[in-house]
Amino acid sequence: MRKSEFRGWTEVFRFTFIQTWKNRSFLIFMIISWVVCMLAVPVLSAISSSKKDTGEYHIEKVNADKVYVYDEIGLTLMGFDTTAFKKAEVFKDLPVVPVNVNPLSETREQEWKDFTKKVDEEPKSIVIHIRLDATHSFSFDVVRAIESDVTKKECEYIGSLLVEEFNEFKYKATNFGEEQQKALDTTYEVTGLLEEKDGTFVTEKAHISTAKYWVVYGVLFVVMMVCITGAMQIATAVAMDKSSKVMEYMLTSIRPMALIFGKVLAQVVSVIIQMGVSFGLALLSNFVTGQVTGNNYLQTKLPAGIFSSLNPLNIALALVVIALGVMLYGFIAGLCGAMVTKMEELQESVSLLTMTNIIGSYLALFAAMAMQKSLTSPLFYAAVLIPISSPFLLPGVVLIGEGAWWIKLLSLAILFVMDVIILFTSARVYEALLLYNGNKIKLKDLKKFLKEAKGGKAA
Amino acid sequence: MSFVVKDLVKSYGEKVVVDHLNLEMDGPGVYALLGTNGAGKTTSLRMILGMLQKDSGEVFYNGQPMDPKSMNIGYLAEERGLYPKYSLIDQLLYFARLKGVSRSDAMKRIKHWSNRLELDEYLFPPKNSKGRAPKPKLADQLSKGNQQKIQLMAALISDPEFIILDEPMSGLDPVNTDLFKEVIREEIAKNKYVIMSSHQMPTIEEFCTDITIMDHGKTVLQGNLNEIKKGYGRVNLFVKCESNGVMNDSIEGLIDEAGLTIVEKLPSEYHIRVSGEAQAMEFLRLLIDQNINIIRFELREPSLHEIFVEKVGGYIPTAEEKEAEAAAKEKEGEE
Repeated sequence: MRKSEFRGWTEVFRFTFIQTWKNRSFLIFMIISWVVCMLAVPVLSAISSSKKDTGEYHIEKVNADKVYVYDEIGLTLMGFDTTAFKKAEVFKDLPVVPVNVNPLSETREQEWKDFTKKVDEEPKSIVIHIRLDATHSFSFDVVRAIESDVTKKECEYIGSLLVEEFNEFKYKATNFGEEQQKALDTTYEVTGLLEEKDGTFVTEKAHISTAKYWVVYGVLFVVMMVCITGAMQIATAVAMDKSSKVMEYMLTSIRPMALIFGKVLAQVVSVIIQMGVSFGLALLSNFVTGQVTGNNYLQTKLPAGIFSSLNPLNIALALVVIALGVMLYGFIAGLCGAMVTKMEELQESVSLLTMTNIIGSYLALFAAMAMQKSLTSPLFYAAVLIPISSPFLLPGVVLIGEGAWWIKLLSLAILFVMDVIILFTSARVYEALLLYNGNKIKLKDLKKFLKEAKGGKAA
Repeated sequence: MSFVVKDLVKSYGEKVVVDHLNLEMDGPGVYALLGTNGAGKTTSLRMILGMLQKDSGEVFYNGQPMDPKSMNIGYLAEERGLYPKYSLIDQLLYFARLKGVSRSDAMKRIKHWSNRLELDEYLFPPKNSKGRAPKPKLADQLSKGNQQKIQLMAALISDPEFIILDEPMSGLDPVNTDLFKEVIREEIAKNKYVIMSSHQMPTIEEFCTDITIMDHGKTVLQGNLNEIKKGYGRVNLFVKCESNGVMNDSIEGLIDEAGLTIVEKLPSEYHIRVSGEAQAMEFLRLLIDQNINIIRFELREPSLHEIFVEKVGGYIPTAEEKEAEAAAKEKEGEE
């Protein structure tokens, strides 16, 4: 790698960076994404708290005039309060009529059918039917007539209030404290442990939880979008250099390597700043909203302990992988841009980029799905090590603290080497085709051009 | 101080587009690279500039292999290029920075050239009645001629020691052509190396001391323009007489009588090919003897245009060749 090959890249970087930030469509997209990030938390928090105020279901007027409690299993006799739904302001005046049911009756089903006929005649009544289902679990049915005046929302709201009450009833019955109740509510994972020779234990995780899968999926989606957006901007910028013929002037002072490197790096930095600021604004917005409402929205909504492995090293590693990924796709985009002579040809030329991006993202997605079953599947290793999919999968894997260090570092090394190879290939193609103004280049023609470029001595 | 191109070759597959090009400049001056479209001029210039890889050959500047990236070269490309949607000043600053010019110097030079090339209204628009300066124009809002001026600015902004101008005047109106000529003259006066490629032969004759004519990649004529012309001799005679149908017939009769060839016949003027000064004088005597009123009688060397057409389109024998041909004919007659 000769130093002179890169001479002047800083000027290309500066110019491209400034022009990118002056670009109106980039600015509009950026402002929209920043506004969305700033407003998302307060808006979601407001919606969430408004649901809490009015109950999950916003009901202004109750149409029901009576609630029957048809308890087939004698839950009321055990102390369960079936009138608990009246705690909600909208239902406080709703009369509750307990139905006398014999839990041991042999004609229970027929009795229930007879009772429901009565409900058909009373369009404003609701029946809370407490029974055992096929798996012998408690079941609450909230029943109304098919032509009832009572709304679906009223029934669902009553049902949800009863379930809430039932959960509390369960814990009270077992005399569990609040901490114990929380512990019981947690989703448990089975963790295999390996004992080292020195007596310490290392985790032998078999798979990831659904919650962690969604984190990996979310990061994958964001990185994929960033890569394709950044890469398209790079392809457009390179094609514009060619189609506007500016290239010929620039090549008197700078090598193609420096041109493509500066251009791609400027886009990568722009995209990472855009993404970082968006992320930062979302966190800031969450913090401010938390201070105002006293409720940390993200903390309450995200599963507990999902980012327990998050530390500066992991964050830095994830950012490096994302940056290398955007660069990889940027260099491929540069290659696509260099292959066109007119802007109109760009759409067709970027098929190489879009195909690579689609294959990479699907590979990463399937690997993420496979991670829910096994962390040692060949698909997982393939997606983490193949450079077109690793930028999508690895950041998420790193952020949730999964995967062995050796595979993360190996993946990073492969990605870096691939970046260098694609940079040099792109620059070679760029150099060979920069002054080409003939018909659209097909991939098979590339070989010929590269051979010709290689055959000539450097000027 | 010298600039030498030695055996420059470039092929695309089987096709040789530049075939052993050699040229030499002993010192600052203007060198013209001529040829028809596709003759290999632009390819040669691109190889000299290092933007295109050469198959073989060498380029030396001041006795050392030329490294265009480390030199201060100004290049006006045949295919003009500017970013259509970026600010012109941003682009010029960028081009200047790539050439290593500091930002403050670049800004000073932009102001100088903007004024010199009469571009102030586009680059530094004056404030309007409300005291606000309108936004400077973008490249795609300028006319072709003004875009070309911006390109010339970009080529000269680093005050280059070596200038390559590929078709500098094409597409310019007469006023801007004169402006470009003035600027080029100023640069020549600063003792710079200038290589110019053009199809406008009068422009080349105006500026260049040495030429190379290329045809299909090969060098068909090379040397000092004056020497080349001298070599052809003063064989072009332009005769204009008082317009009169009868008179014209008699002039044509006299041309026949003198054994001369009409190259071109204009309404009241003839371009005649003569073998030399003596034949021209003989013909002048004939006209005087016939009492024909002569308005113009001019004997001169062939123009560059004629030489060019001959070299790449037709064939005009040089004075020596003519003499040799005449001698051969004489000999044939004797036999």
